[in-house]
Formats: sequence, C-alpha cells, structure tokens
Amino acid sequence: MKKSKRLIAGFMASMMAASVLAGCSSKPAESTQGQTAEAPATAEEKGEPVQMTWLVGATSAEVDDNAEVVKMIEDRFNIDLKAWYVDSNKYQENLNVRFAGGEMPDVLVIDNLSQLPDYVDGGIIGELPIEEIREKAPNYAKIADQYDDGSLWSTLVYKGKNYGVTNPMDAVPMAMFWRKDWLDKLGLEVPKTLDEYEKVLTAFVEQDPDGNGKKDTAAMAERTFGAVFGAYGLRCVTGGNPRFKVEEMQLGEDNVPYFPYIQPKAKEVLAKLHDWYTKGLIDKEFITGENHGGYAWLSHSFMNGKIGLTSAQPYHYLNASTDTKNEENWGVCMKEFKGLNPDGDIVIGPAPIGPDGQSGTEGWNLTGRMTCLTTKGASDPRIVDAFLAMLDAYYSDMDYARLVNYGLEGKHWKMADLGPIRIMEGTDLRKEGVLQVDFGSTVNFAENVTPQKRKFGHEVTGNGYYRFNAPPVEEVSNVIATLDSLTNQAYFDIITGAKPIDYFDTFVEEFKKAGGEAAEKAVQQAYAEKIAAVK
Amino acid sequence: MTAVTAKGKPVKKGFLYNMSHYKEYYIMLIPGILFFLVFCYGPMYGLVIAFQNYYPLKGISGSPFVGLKHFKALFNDPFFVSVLKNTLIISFYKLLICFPAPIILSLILNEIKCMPFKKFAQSISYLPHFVSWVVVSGIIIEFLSPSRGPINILLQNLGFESIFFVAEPKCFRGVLVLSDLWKSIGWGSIVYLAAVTAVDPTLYEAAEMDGAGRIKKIIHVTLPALAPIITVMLIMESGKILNDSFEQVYNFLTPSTYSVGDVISTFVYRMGIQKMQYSFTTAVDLFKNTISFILVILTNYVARKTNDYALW
Amino acid sequence: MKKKKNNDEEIASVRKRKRSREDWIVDGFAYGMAAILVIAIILPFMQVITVSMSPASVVNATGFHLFPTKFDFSGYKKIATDNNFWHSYLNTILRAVIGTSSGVLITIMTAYPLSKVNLPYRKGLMLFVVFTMYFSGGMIPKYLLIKNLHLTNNFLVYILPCLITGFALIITRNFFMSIPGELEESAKIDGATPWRVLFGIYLPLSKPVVATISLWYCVHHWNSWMDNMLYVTKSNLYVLQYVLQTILTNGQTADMETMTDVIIHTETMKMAALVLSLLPIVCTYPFLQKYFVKGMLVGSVKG
Repeated sequence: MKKSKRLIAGFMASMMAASVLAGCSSKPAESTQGQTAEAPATAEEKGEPVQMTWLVGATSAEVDDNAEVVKMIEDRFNIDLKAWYVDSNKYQENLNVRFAGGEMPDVLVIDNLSQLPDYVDGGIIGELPIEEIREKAPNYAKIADQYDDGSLWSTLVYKGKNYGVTNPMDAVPMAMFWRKDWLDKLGLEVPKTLDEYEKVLTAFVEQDPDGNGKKDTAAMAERTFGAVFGAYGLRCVTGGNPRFKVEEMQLGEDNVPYFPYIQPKAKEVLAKLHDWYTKGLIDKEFITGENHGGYAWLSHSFMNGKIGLTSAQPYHYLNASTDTKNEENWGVCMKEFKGLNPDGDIVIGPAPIGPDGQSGTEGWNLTGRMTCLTTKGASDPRIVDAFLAMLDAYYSDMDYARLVNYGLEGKHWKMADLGPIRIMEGTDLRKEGVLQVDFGSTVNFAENVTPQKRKFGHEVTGNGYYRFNAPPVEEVSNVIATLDSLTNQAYFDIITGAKPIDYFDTFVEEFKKAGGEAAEKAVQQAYAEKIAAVK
Repeated sequence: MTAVTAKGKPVKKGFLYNMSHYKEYYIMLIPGILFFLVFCYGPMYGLVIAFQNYYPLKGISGSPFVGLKHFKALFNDPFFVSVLKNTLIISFYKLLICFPAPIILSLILNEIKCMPFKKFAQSISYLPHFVSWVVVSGIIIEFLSPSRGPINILLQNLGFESIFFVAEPKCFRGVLVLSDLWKSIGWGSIVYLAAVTAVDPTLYEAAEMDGAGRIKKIIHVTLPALAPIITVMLIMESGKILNDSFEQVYNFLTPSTYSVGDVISTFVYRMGIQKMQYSFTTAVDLFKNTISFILVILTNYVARKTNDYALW
Repeated sequence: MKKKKNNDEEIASVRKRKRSREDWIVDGFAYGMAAILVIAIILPFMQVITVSMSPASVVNATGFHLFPTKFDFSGYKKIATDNNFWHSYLNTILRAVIGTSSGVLITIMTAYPLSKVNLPYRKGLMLFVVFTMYFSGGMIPKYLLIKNLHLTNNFLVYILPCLITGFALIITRNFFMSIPGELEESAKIDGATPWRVLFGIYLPLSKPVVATISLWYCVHHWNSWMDNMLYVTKSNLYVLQYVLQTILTNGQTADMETMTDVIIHTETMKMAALVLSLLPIVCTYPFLQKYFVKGMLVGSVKG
C-alpha cells in the first residue's frame, strides 16, 4: 500500500515539476542576500539536501542561508531550508497572487479552519495520512493522544482524509485585571462572585477611586463582557474588538456544538449587562472600544483611568509571575500602563462566579497551529519525512524546540529569573531562522521551556471556554455575515437600551430563520462525522 | 475642414480615408491606446472569475463555472436591501455636500487677493487627502468623544447632554459626510482652481463695465467658465453612487450604527470572515462597476442633450 | 511677465475705485471660510506632528496633544536607520520624476487627437477609454500579465502599468476643447503639423491643466506601494511608502493571537512615517502653484 503511494507520489512530483517549469516564468523570491534557490525537488543523489520551504504566518521572513540556526536545522534534517516572505498587509491576497502564479511553499500553516476546504479543493494542500504521522512522529503522536479530547486528530480531516497536523497548545484563558490602587483606596477586596463584582464596580463609579473629585469613572467595558457571559456558562466573546464573534460556536458538555448567542441564558446575561449599563458601570463608550489605536491589546480606557477592570491574556501584562514591581516581569501592556500611571498598580483576579456556580473566560484554541503540507511538499517523500522528523523533534528534543523557537542563548535570548527573554525581535529574528519552523507554544514546549510562564498563566486564570474548531460547512459560510449583523446589532441595542430586553426573543427567531438553525445543524452533523471518522 | 451634410454633421468616410487623412492624429494616439489595450484590456478576462468558484492555483481554466451563484448570494441576503439603501443614501448625501464644496472653495480661494495667505491656504487645504482614514478616524472619534471631546465638553458646559456622535444612528451619516468633506475638499478643488485661473480676465473687465459687482461676476463669468469641468466631474461622480469608501466606513462603523452605516463593502468584508472569497468579491465589484458604468452613460446622455459638454 | 503685472494692476486699480459694501461681504466671507478651513486642518496635523515625536506615555493618554511636551524621536530614528529607507526615497523620487513626465507626455498626446471633434471614431475611442475606468480584470490577472511581460523586479513596473489614467485624459481633453479653434486654424494655414500645434500652441496654453495632472500623477507615484508589494521582491527596488508600511507592520502582527513579541510605539512610528512622506509633497506644491496663473489666453488671441 505504501509502495504504491510512493510511486504515485514520485509520478506526481515529476508531473508537478514539468508543469511548473512549463507554466511559470517567474524567478523564485530572491533573498535579500541576492542568493537564488537552485536545488530541484527530486534530487537523485542520496545525502543531497532537499529544499524545503516553510510559511508559518504573516510574520515570516526569508532566511539568511548563513545564519547559524538555519545551518543547524539544515544539518540535522538534511534539508536546504527556505522560508517565504509574504507581506502581512493583505496577507491573504498576496498568497492568492502567489498561488495564481503557480508558486507555493512546502509547508503552510493555516490559521482558520474554514480555509481548509478551499485549500484542499483548490489543490493547494496535500494529504498527510494519519498512519504516516503516527509512524514517523511517534513522540508527537504520544503527546497528542495524551491531550486529545476526542477532537484533535479529526481537526484537519476533510472528506474522509487527513490534511495536516494539529498541535495541543498551552492555551490559557483571559485573565481579569483590576486597578489595585483603586481597590486599595476604596478598601475593597478583589471580588469573586458576580454580585461581589457588581458591588466593586458600583464603588468604582460612585466613590471616585482616582481621587480627582469628579464622578467621571465607569468601571468596565467590552473586554469584560466575555467574563460575564462566562458566569452563565456561555462563550460569547468580543476578542480585542467591540464586536461579538458570532462565527465562534461553543462546544457543549455533550460534545455537541451550538451557537451560544441564541441560548435562553444569553437573555439573562443581556439583562444584567443592560442593568449595569444604565447604572453607569459599563463605559458608555464601549461601543468604540477600549483600544484607541496602536498595539491591539492595549486598553486605553483602562490605562487612562476611565475604567478599572479589563481583560487580556496574562502575559500581555505580566510575563511569569504576579510580581508587579519587577520590571523584567512587565509585559507590553504593563509597560505602557506604568508609563502613564507611575504610581498605579494592577492585580489579577478570578473570573466572576455566576448564580449557578459557573465561571470562566474565553480561551483560544486548545488545539491549534494547524500545519499542513502543500501538494508540492506532500508529493516529495523526502520532504514529508523531513517534516515529520522536525515535528517529532519539537516534541522529543527540548533543546531543539528551544532552538527553533527562541534561538541561540546570548544572541537571540537570555535567561532571566523567570525564564527566557527574547533580546531580538521581528523580522531580524526570523531572518536568523528562529520562529520559522516551530510549532508554537505547545503543551510540552510550555512545560519544559517556559515553565514559570506556564505555571503563572494557569494559576491566575480559572476555567477556560476554549475556542472550538468548527468544521467548515457551506450552510455557515453562506449566512455568517447575516448572522453576524443580526446578532451584533441586537446585542448592542439591548445592552445600550435602544431595544427592550424582550426583543431578544424576536432576535432568536430571526437568527434561526436567516439560516442560523440550518447552520447549527449542519455543523453538528459535520462534527459528529469527523469524530466518527477518526475512531 | 471636412465635408458636411445638409444637417451639418460630418460626412462619414471610409476607414482608409480616415486613417490617411488623420494620420498624425492616430499616430499620436498609438502609445496611449496601446497602454489601455495591454494593461487594462489585457487582464479584463479576469471578469469571468465573478462567475466561477475561483481557485488561484487552478486558474481560470481549472476553476468550476457557477454562473450567477455569487450574485444570487448577494441579492438574496436579507441584509442586502438595507446595505444597498445605506450605500445609496450616503453617496447621495456626499454628492449633495461634498461635490459642490470644492467648487465653492475654488471660488473662495480665487477671491482672495492676499497672495501669501492664498498660497498658504491652498497648500494646507489638500493635506488631509494624504492621511489614511485609519489615522483620521482615530482623531475624529477622539474629537467627538462624549466624555473627552471638545464639542461635548462645550455642550455639557452649556447645560446640554453630551451626544455620542459616532454611535448614534441619527448622527452617523453626518459624521461620515462631514469627515469626507474635511478630507476631500482641498484636493478636489485643485482641478476647479486650474479652470478658474484660466478664465480670460477680459471677461471680468467686460462684466465690470456692465456694472457687475463681485458676486455677479462670480455668477456670470466664473461659474459659466467652470460649467464644462463641473459637468464632467458630475458625470463621473454620479457613476460612483454605488461606491463607498470602505476604509472610511470600516474605521467608523460599530454594531450600533450598522442599520444606517453598513454599506456594501463593509458587509461584503464581513462575509469574508469565513472563506477565501476572491470570486465573491469579484462578483460584487462587477455588480457595482456595471451599475456605475450604466449611470455614467445615462448622465452623459442627459448632459449631451442639455448642453454641449459631455464625456463623449 | 511684465505684461501680466500691468494687467493685474489695471484690474486692481479698477476694483479699488469701487470698493463697496459688497466687497466687504465677499472678502469677509472668503477670508473667513478659508481661515476656518485652515484651522480645521492645521489642528489635527499639529496632533499628528506632536504624536510623531512624543513618547508612548504621551501618546497613550487620551485627549489632544497639540504641542509636544516631552520629546521622543525614536519613531524617526527607527525609520531613518532602516536599511532600505534612504534607497527607497531615491527610488521614489526617480519614479515620480520619470513616471510623471512620461505620463503627462502620453496623456497630452492622447488627449489632443481626442479633443478634435471631427476625428473619426472619436466616440468609440472615448468609450474605449471610459470603459477601463470602471471595469478591471482584478488583481490576479493583472499579476499574471505583469509576470508574463517579465516586468517583475524591474523598475519599469512602476512606470508602465500605471502610465496614464482615464480621468486625467478626460480632464486634459476637455481643457484642450476649450481652447479656441482659430489658433489652430491660423497655425495650420502657416503649414504647422499637428505635432507643432500640440507642442507649440496647446501646451503653453495648458499650463494649469498640465500642472494639475502632473500633481495627480506625481502624488500617485509618491503614494504607491501596492505595486511594490505585489511585483517586487528585490529590496533595492523598494519605494518609500512600501518601506514605511513594512516598518510599521513589523511592529504589529496580523494575527493578534499568535504574537510572540512585538515592537511597540506604533502610533509614534505611524505618525513619523506620515510626516516623512508628507514633507516633500508640501514642498512641491508651492513650486507648481506658479503654473496656476491667469490669462495665458490673453496674449495669444490678441497676437
């Protein structure tokens, strides 16, 4: 069975080479050093390195062939490593244009599962059978099995075939950040339940926590909405922008996905949010968002003392411990916050516990970093082998994992009390070959390479409503914009009071009628099929 | 120069006669026409993508033909009518306010005799054209902020309630139109200024002799001189009625104002959340461009019937 | 030049004799509106300039920053020390000069015949041009065309595919149409070819419109970056706006969630980039203004 696959693969490879040579008259992307890639994909001599091109995302850069890290990777796996640079401005358009020209990398990371059908049907992503993954990347397979909640192996399955690898990520849900100096001034403790939250938030509004004599503070804005929904068991999140992400469905306890936005409980949450809005607890300007430009995770409302509570990933503010006095521990947002408020302080609190004892904040995918082989890569067995070897090494050899993720100590990172800190960033770092062939912060990577960060992240956060990789179905993509408009308009209007709370029932009917009901069913069915296919 | 019929229209001659008689003119045309042929008509076959499920790697010949599927998806969407309505209304307001404004500005600048100030004002006026909407919208949102913005602080001091302009459906279109006015008035006035300064001064002298004051001069000398260029610009503007400035609207739009501000391009953008929508966006663009082109032909026809100035 | 000044003086003296209440109203209105516009534009730009040289602690504070209080030129420094910056400045200047001059030349050459009412197939040709202003094949077919013409990584890709615009063509053509036909008639009687007429008569009379389309083309070339992004990978061919874009986006990742490390102060850098790209534009316009002059027709008709 495998031998014939090799034959077919070899045949396909020569066909591809022929068509590429015939159709494509463009030069391959030149590196800034002016070197051109030469080695053909089907090298005859044994031991000759095979050229392998990676594209991990919008921040990729072309690698410097002479960089030490690049050489180390190349030597280990007998490859000639190249990376694509695709402008992150209009990333998808740029990729489309390259594909149209007949070019593609060997390895491609897709960041949205909904792209999978288009990539597969479009002939861009090639099949990678699960048996082959298990055979050639056993360490990866072991850890993947360990963290499999039943859905990991089926994530990249489409029409019965598997198209890549999904990684178990060390996902940490959002943390709640309070203005500690405000709490101290008003003599308040960090609240735990939803009612306690309300008391503290009210105090923020009524008792002038910034001491300027004016009642000009609200208490929270749109980034905290997720936590309030979480107190009722729902995952209705805004991400960093003031817009609910209707396309993100929730996976129920019974392993059945659904749209959280039309659940009856959502009505209760909206009522509470509206109540808080009228009491001034929610900043009226939440509509234009907490962020006013620049780095997306900054909360200008929070930094400028308009609100006293915000939500973000732990490491946005603090790297690896709750110590807010250690400047080395400060994340990007903390640095900016301190720049504006030298005497201010923050503290991380738990997500609010709702009336039924539920709580939690949004998390990103527990399984992510979906890495696929393109049809070009998949057609060359040497590339497939090299890829799986690199995958396995990332899960078995922690020094290698740190090398490709952080680089060389002293040059690209240094060891501090709290773990490794990068000293080189951006494209410079990537040119050196770092962050070009890694698989992100997987579970075992985080455990072994950044243990303090991982420990800290899980300590300060609680239950996470992790993002669910919904299988892409046409019923959803056809109506998602409509559902999005319906939901966001309804939710915003109800919260601000532009529409009464009972409008929610009308909204649910409209949502279902507009295709929401059919979409939900389609996803449920597709997901059930996916799980069954892998069993 | 050419023979005319009894009605005064030029007699139609054969192709070869035309080519030889007007040889130099056609030779002059060659580079320009070549340019359009190669770089504009060359890729024009790409329009067929609007009728396909296009896969970039497979190319046009390899992608399946789906006919009017994308158009149907657009027209049948429950929000299409609302989105179309918003686009048209906003374009109409912009036509009403942002079209005459540069003309008026050119007249104003023309009346200013103090050269240093005139030059200064001119140079300043078109600066906003160069700033992207991302930057401009940030400044404007701050300016109109209900808690921090100067306008609302003034309102509060006067005892009124502050208004959240950007989030208030009643004000949103106004924000779009006025911010566009700010951004485009200077740059748009350049072409009218060119026409205004080319007006023969003897015409003004003649008007002066007839006892015309400044305002009458503007009405009877300057404006008629601007009529050709205004007509041309108006025809082209009318074609843009379905266009919306995605960058502008996207940076101001919030769910609170979807009902009045969501336009075709922002809606289509959200449709792209889930899929690689290359063919769908091509279809939408084709739809918009077809309507624009038809409108241009119509208005050009009307212009030709009512006066001498037209696009062709 | 002297003749023009005399004309202006004559007109001015005629006006001065009759300075009326109407003059006050018109002047007041004109100066007033112009002043309001100038203020409405300058104030935000003061904010832009201030932000471009302020540290993050100032930039992050809500409210207006019209005057810099603390200074932080790291945005400018980051941009000016980028390897590609100065070279791209040169490329852009080259592009603007070559692109504008060739564009204006071809525009004039194409507009002139199309301004002749008697030219056969004129309507068809206009339709041919106008059609391209509304319909385009899209990004991918254009990319394939450029590739097949071997224009990728070639400086000419900045000049040829965007040589002229239908809009500039129409404006120029209409301007030509407003030039009195008698001028051409008298030249033709003297035996002038269409080329002579175009460059000897029409061009000198068309300074305002030539200045206008020059400005349009120049600005287009100055601001272009998408053609760089799609068609050029050699860094020594990069243009200014593209380099600025890449510097800015290096500081932000497209996907907020996969960010590992990020260079911040993007607002400061964004504004610095904006100021750097605006500076030359602000300086060229006064240079072009002198072409927006009155009465070029006066001398020629009388003569």
